Amino acid sequence: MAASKKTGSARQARIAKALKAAFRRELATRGDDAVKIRVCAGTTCNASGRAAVSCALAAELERRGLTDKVQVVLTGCHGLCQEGPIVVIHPRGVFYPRLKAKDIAEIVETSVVGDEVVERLLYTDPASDEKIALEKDVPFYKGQTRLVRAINGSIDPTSIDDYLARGGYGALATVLAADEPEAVIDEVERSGLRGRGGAGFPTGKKWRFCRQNPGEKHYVICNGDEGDPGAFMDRAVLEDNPHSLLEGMLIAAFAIGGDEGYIYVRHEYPLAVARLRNAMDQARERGLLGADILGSGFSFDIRINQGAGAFVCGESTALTASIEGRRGMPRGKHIRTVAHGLWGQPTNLNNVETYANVPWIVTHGADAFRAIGTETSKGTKIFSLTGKVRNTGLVEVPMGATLRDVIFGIGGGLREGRTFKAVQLGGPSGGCLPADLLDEPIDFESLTAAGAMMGSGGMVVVDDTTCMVDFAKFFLKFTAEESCGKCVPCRIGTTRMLEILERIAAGEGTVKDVERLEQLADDVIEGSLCQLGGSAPNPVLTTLRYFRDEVMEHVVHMRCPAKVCRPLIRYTIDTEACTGCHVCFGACPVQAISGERKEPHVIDQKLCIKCDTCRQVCKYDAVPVETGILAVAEGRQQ
Amino acid sequence: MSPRTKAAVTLTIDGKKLGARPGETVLTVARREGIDIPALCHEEGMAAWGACRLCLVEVKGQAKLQAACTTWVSDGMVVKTDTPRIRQKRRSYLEMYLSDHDSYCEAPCANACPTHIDIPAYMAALEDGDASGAAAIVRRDLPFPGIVGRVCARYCEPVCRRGDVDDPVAICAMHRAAADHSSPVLVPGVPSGRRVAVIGAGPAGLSASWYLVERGHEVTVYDTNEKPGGSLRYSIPEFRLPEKVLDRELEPLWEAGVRFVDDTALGYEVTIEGLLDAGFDAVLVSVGSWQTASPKLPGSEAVVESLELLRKVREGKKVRITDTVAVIGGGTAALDAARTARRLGATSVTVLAPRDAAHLEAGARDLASALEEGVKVEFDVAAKKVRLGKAGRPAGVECVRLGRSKGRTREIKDSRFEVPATTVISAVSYVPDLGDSGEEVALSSWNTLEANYYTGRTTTPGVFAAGDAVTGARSVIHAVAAGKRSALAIDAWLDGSDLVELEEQLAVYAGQPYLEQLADAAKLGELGERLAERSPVWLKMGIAAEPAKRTTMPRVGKARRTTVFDEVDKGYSLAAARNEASRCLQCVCPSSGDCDLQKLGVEHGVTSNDLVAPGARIRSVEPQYEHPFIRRDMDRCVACGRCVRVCRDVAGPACYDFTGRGFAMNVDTPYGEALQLADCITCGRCVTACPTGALTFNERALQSYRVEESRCIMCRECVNVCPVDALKETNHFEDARDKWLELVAQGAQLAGGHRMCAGCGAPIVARQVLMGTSDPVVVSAATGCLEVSTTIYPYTSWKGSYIHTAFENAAATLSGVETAFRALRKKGQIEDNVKFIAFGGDGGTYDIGLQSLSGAMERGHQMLYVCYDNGAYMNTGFQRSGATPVGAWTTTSPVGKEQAGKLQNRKNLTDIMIAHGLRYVAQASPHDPRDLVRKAAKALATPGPSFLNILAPCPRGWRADGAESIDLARQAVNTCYWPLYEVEDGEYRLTFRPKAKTDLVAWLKRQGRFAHLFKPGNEDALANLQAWVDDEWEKLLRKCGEPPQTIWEEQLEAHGCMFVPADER
Repeated sequence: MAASKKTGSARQARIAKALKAAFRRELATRGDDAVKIRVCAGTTCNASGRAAVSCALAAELERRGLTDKVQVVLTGCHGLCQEGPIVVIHPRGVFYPRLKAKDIAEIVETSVVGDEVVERLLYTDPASDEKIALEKDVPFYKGQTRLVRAINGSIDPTSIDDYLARGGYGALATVLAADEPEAVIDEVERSGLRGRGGAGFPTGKKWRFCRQNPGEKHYVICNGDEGDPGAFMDRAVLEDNPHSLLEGMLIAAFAIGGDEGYIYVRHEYPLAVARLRNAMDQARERGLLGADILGSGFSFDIRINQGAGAFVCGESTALTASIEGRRGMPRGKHIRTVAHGLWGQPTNLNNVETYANVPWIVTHGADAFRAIGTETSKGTKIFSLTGKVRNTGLVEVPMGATLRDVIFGIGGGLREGRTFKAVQLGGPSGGCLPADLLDEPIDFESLTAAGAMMGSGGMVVVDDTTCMVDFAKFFLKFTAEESCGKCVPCRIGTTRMLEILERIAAGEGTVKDVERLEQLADDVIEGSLCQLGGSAPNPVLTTLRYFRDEVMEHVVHMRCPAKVCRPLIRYTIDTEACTGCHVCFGACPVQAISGERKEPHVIDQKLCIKCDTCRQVCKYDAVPVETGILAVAEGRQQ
Repeated sequence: MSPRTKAAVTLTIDGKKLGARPGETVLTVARREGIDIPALCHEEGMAAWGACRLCLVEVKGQAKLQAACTTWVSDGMVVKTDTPRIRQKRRSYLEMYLSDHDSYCEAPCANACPTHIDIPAYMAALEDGDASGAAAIVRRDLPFPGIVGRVCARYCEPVCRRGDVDDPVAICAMHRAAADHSSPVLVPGVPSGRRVAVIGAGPAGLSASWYLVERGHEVTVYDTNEKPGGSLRYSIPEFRLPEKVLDRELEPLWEAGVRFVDDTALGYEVTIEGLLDAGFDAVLVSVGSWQTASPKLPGSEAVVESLELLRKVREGKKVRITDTVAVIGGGTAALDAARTARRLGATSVTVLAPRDAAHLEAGARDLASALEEGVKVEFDVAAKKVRLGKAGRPAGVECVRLGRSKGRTREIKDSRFEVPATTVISAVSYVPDLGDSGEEVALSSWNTLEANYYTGRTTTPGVFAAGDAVTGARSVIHAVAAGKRSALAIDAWLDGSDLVELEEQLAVYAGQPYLEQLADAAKLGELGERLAERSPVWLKMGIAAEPAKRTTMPRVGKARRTTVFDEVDKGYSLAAARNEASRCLQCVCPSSGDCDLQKLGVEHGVTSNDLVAPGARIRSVEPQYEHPFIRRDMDRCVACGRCVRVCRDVAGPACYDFTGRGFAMNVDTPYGEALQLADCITCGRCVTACPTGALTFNERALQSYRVEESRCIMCRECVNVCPVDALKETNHFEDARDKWLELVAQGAQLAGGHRMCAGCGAPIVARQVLMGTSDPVVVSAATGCLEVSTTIYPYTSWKGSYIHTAFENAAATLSGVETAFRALRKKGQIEDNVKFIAFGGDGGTYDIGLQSLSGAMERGHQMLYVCYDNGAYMNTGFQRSGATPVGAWTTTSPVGKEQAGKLQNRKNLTDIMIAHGLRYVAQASPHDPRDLVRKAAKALATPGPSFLNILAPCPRGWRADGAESIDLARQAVNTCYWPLYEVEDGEYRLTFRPKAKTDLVAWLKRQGRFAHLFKPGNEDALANLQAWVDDEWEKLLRKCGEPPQTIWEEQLEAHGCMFVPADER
């Protein structure tokens, strides 16, 4: 598709002209070589105090009379969310993380007016402990391959002109000019793009089915109901580069013959909704959305549908039910959405990230896309890397990269003094993989074989202070509560599984319970109506597969090796080490600690709620945490 | 395979080659071909739902099991529907369902009781305070609740599910309470002309007599003793069963004409043959077992027989007991003898029981009482010899200890010991004393009578036997049960039934699995059903009840218990009995036997469930019984969604939907309101769709109006007094429902989908009024909530003629319409009967429209004016009206320093309308649709103008929960704030009088408009409001010719009908 065969045709010229007319260069921010300050305005940076920083920056520039010379751009998310608020000063690209308003004056003085860097405020690589001045040198960015998120950190997401300036909507124009919908589908199919929502269904194939199914109308739906705990990949696309999604949807609509689309976004993403609405208004105004797009005769418009916070509405059939105003409940998959979807019409439903990949494929061609990734999984995948890793944030890597690359390379490994224990992939539907599997390549098949899944891209790293029983309990509790309740394995089965896990975590589990848990997991997977239930036991199953010893410790020895499960641990004070400094005495929220100053203190086990405060405040390491049958028995006796 | 393809397909299900049409599902095809695939959520004829996961099948080539309801058939498909893998999964899902099914199928107590009393039913009656009703339910199966409720061995209580929460319900003491707080009643049947002789006036004989008399037979009872009662009178001591209780309970028998012949022993004064010759049509032998049968111990010549001792004490004869007493035996008689000995002055009493405490024949209650009274018990011992001392008097009992292994009892070596005793009482085992008649009837090897278990029939024609005479010494309840069975059998035999055939059927039936028994029950006929012993199967599941300890039984002080013979247990007061009855979990399901979950549970062997571990979550939802015909008990709901879909897609109104998420998911009405507020058309489709007992027809309530046709004497008394003319119609449930449905359809002239607030009383009132006529109706409504919300231009919810008029002149407008109608009719241009109804709120009626109303009424137009009184101008934002109660907040009667809500009392508009001399005026409330509809029908049939004043709760203005509107209306009536009465041609009649007038406070507290009254400083206002209601009520009572409230309450109290304890009032 990179080069259309119908070059020179009148149609192409008309469309190219229309696209050009849509672009108002004067409103776009200038290229990277200009003096320009990019302030990350992603949700995370906003939450870490970005507003104060940009206010201070504006005031400082005003004071120095630099307002006309220096452009401040509020950009989309830069990815290294942990280090927000992030400010990057161009043309050099000096990277200032964790900025405070009080530092602004100094930065403007040094890096904007002057050409130096403020050493003190530079990013320190946690791995090498070296100061890094330029954004491109930050290891977190170096290891990534950014297709979808390539321009997110450099454009203003509220400006369509920024997007157009970087060739935005060019893919759409190409497609419209060629006027060969089937060819678009061929191209996408050839690229090997698979759905980024979790199941990994080949996108081109889905489009083709949808196009082939007869109906009064064909709908194009974008699933932006990203509900996995710790996942925010889709949010980032919606907030940082909404036009890439719109363009992807437009191309899809053109390919399948759709004229109406829906974007289903969570109500919890207000910024995403605002930016989407803004982007849609702009696109309509420039003739890129609505009737007769770019004069091609092709019409397509999109509505936003806000979800009310049900996790299950991320499931395709529940999502369509929700758009139709019904309770979000999945249905049997014998009726395919591509044949009978929204309002009973053929419907194409893809995830945000899937659509966002499409313009790139059209622009660069299927072969370029195929060149990235593994045999079965092509292109890149965005992960939200969170947990006990040094660098948390959004990571885009080629398929086939290993977990080690991501966690230890880009993520910078575990925090000081901690060891890697597991990585949880794919949210509550995924699984926990242990250290032995760190060299597994990240692709659909390998992850599924290991018991986890690609999912939408959540990646939570945990260290030795996390109890795997507790961790599995957390995910299962989430799915049990988020079940729509329609089918019995999911409604009751997951709850019963959770109860067994709760018993194990309380030291009341038996070996029989563990077997029952496995059996129940199998029953729930086998019988659940949709993939919410069908994958809900995965965290438990992988825990039993890779961390069975730890589970059995709870059952057999009433021991929680990570010292997390409260019924199995006991806080004591080491009388030798205790100096009687009285700090814990004051910190204990329930007055369970007694003792005279300069005398060893004691904890009253009856009152202790095991909140861990005393251990955290103790400067002498005098609060050992015990676990195991003896500790439990002693704790109960006292 | 697309469902639209036309070509036929061939597939194989369970090895059967089948043809099918494309687009059909595996489930449809299998069911059509008679292959049973279980499914709870599938509703034939409706789109697949796929929720229950029980229809999973194996499809060749598919790794995962597929739900048959959501799998299209395809050519060459190979399906298996019943493999171990499938069964395991189905079982697992059934376990999941049942782990969240907080209800039993059947009540284990009723099954365990030999007489099978409907215990949950009588507990429910007792909870309502209806002791007579409760006793009547007990007497259907057990004629002497006052007696057996004191002495029963209580097979019911150990199986009571309440015991899994805290203590079992005091079931036994509760029949006693029912009897203690009511009078025994026995209504003899229509005389049959048959005579039955009963030999032995013990529990079996008297119970048989009761049921024989009830069926119209003439009964003569013979007994060797001077007074009737047998073991009840002569071997159960006074401190357990006082004589006056016994006499009171037996009195109905003699009143009903049973003849008692004393001092007559079988085989001595009478013989069976002699009685048959003397003209008796049947003879029942129930002589009990009084002779000691056990082999005599060495030294037993010096032993006192327990029954003899107990009898002597009962007869008031002098009995000498020494200080040290030993009692041999472990039955009730042994403990009774021991406790009697204590009361006669023995200081040391030792019972030598052959079993351990848990397996003692006498129950735990008697054992505990004996121990409390200082009786010592040696468990697991056998008496070997009574050692005699001086003058042949006993000196001690030599015993040996017993040990048990593998179900066998052995004497333990070298465990001999001696219990010192100067009096030894023997209470071992007994056989019947048959005199010389032993040859007339067959005897077993135990010297007891041979008789059929179910019917008591002996091999001699016309001779039946029951009780201990057949079984050897057993508990009273067994004797009573056997007596009842024999009576039923004798009745049938006299009627010419073939008992032998029935006995054979019953024997086969008893061996069948539970579900087959249920299916077969119909074949047994009514008698067979009553005689049958059903093998009980119930599914174990969780109980979410809050713990509540058993109500303690007041008892005589321990000190007195060793000296006097007063009854030890004093019994429950009615209030205590109500409290105890409320602990009953009502373990009975109206759908038992007709429930798919039960059927599948039994089929898959899910009778125990390890998913219900301690702490397991169990969904518990309050049952909803507000709808007149449909009961909703969502604890039994499996969330299959059939009702949701059937109501929405087939019936139309969409009364139900799913609420909540995850485990807490539930099926409920929109806004959780009462079903009748949710546009329910009472079609019953939801009930027929429900696979379990979650939705059922409220048949039990309707059954209470059934007439016992066999006893009906056609006096028409009931037909005349029935306020709803129901008895002219039919007493059949189906017809009653259809009748109601017709009425509901009339009410639907005001369509659903109007825009009244959720929980608003006005549209319900309007519909119920419309249910009062089947004629065409012309409606006029004054400006107000009802008008603005039902006719939003260009839409209208009124299906018939409707005329909107200004705020003040609904009555005037309609009177004009009515005049025009009369004129046209006179000219012959209209032939129909047309009814004219004006609706106005209280603003438009009490205040601004009063003048036009008064005029219309005075001019005598043929119309009904309905005021829906919500007590303020609601649609304009809550301004006071003449109907606003004193003290209520409105925007024009604000709450502040100067005043606390409205200062003036409401005016009595109903009285004003009565003063117009109308022929029919009434007050009604939507909580009682039958009453309201009846009043509307009466009003519309009245010549000339009529008026209805109807309470219409307003959740917005009252500041109350919309889901509680109907209940608030009910409460308003019970507080007498809104009395229900009618005035017909000047005659006042109270149409409902609350059993207990409740305090206004509870009603006021539920409404925010009165919230300020509960702040300090407003006590006077509160008291004034109550005083005003009391005063108005007394005035009304005088007008209606009803006794004043105080006298009414005294009367109720005197009749034991005062159901509400003082602390609740």
